[in-house]
Amino acid sequence: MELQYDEYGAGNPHRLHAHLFAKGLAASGLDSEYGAYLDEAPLEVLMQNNVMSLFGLNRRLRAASLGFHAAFEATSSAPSRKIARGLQRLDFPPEMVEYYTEHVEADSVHEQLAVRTMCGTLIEEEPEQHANVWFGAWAYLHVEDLYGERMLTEWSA
Amino acid sequence: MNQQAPDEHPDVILCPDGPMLLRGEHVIEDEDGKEHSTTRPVSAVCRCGASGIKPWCDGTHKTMRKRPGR
Repeated sequence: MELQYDEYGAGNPHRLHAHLFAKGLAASGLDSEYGAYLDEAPLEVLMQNNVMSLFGLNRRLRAASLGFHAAFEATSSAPSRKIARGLQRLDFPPEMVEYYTEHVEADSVHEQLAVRTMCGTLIEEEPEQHANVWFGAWAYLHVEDLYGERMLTEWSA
Repeated sequence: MNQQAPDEHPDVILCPDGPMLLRGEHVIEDEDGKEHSTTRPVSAVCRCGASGIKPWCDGTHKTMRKRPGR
């Protein structure tokens, strides 16, 4: 709940994370409408979203959903710092950079909350879900790896 | 959600080899005497000393060697 509230800007609509991203896109001259670039997204991105939905929409996979989320948060801060630096180097507008600098700080907190208060609590209450948490975490790392490989291949082509 | 005893949600949490989590609103004075207000429901304060956004944690502790005996 604390994590979700932070994603929603702790009650400040200007700090809503989805809003920060939309502002960044608009400032960069990109379309910020929902789904605007759906047809251009690499299939690996859609795969990530589908796996996340699959876990989230099935109660039997709830532990995998938490593991997926925790693995995402735990691998977000340092890359966000690198992305922010890269965007700055490429002269992207401050609004776009801000989305990522916000996540350096926010996801350092979210990582701890997701791992400790969410996954940790679930495993304490339902120890038989332990393997499913790891299944979700590894599933996340796998689809993220596929996306990374795809982008590196395209950039080096 | 069930009502939980207050001590199940501590205000300060020391994460092993990680940051200090602070629940709620606090003002932190850094080494240079500068004050920083928390802006989140929960904030992570750097304990390893290597964060690039001190006083807040930026996850850098994960790239450091663990302290002996841990």
